[in-house]
Amino acid sequence: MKDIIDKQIVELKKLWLNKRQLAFQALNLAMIVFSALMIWKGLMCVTKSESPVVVVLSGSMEPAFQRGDILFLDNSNPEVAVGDVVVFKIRDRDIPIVHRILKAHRKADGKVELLTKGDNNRVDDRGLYAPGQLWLEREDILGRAVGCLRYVGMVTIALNDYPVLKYVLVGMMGLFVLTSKEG
Amino acid sequence: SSSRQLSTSPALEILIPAGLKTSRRKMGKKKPSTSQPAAPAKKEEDSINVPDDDDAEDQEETEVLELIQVDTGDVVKVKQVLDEATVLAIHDAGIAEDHRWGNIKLAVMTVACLFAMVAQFAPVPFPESRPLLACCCCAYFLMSGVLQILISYVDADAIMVTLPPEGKESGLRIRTNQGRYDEHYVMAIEFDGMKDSPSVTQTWSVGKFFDENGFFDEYVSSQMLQVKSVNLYYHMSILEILFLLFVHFFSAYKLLKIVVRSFLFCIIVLNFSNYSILYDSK
Repeated sequence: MKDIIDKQIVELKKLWLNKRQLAFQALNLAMIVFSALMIWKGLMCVTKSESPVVVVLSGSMEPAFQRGDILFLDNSNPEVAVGDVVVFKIRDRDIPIVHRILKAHRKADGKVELLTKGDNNRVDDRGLYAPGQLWLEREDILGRAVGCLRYVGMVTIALNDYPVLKYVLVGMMGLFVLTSKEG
Repeated sequence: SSSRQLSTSPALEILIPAGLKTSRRKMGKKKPSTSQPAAPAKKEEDSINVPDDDDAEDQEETEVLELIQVDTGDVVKVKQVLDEATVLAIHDAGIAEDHRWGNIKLAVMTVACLFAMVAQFAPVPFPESRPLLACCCCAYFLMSGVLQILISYVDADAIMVTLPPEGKESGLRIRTNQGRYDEHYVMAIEFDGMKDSPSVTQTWSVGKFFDENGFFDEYVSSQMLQVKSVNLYYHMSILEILFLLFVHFFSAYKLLKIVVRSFLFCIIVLNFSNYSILYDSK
């Protein structure tokens, strides 16, 4: 392991001498990172949701969604129905929650009031809402869950619990891309 | 002298006689010229004949060059080393490289990165910025496609394009090819941009430049060193045969590598956005 890193460092030193090649490799690395970012932004555009891919962090939606699942969200449909799994954010709190819609009332002026509950919870979410708030509105909903990838989100959870791992991983991948000469 | 040796295998060193010394960049590592006694013993076992003693005598004019070593099974790296040596040799011959297409590629990549940065750092909040984001994404992927076209069709297999040498109107284009798991390195030199240009093609076995341990001889010259040409062929183990089959059948391997890499970066990008982690209270 260590001599792989040493070899990469030797390659990096060699690269430093040739500025044109260094610029090329650095831009190559930037393009890879930006490709991921652009796919993310593209998904944001298409699904009209601020965070089109999210990771489930707790077990309140078991057995439908386990901790570590990745969910794909879609906010393009203005109608939400009872039984949809939605991600919502409570006003003045920054942590979003994923639960299922239990009740939906449409009032005379067209506004919709929603009540949510986690599948694995004993009571509905009124205890989680802001003090005095009994119902959610459509604006609080960030999107409906339309797809799921099991267990892949464990990587994100690990990266979040041990932030130093994030920097090590990004650093190593950056090093490998900078010194590889495939493109 | 043991402190100067590589940790894995003893370094192979050669003496560069004064006549061959040029000011160009060398691929191997240079060392101070005080290690003469150690060199001949190592060379014996690698089947290279030691040059004559009169070269060893003028110590103040010679340099010791530690040869670079590659894994002979890694065909990609072998081709890379040969390509780099070719570029250095052309520079030595006094012909300058033509950087036009290289600059165009760098410019395309920079424009793509600018679009990406605009998309990321524009001060417009989300729902209103949808048209801007859509434009930037399309522009980014368009630039990326243009770059791929440039790399695949304009560059193709050329490793170097030069400015016109003295007395000629067009520059040279040097193309090289080495088949996967093939020991033959084919080089073609022709005039760039000329229809039906005269061209020179030559094929070498890589054994002419590398020895069994993978040391790369930069200064192959029949005067100074005689290298026994070594045929590079593997006794393929079952594992290698299986790997070959895997790679041939899954020819989307390169695409898979790109997809896996982008996915990993997506996960990492997720971490830098605000809503990436969901939190539930029971």
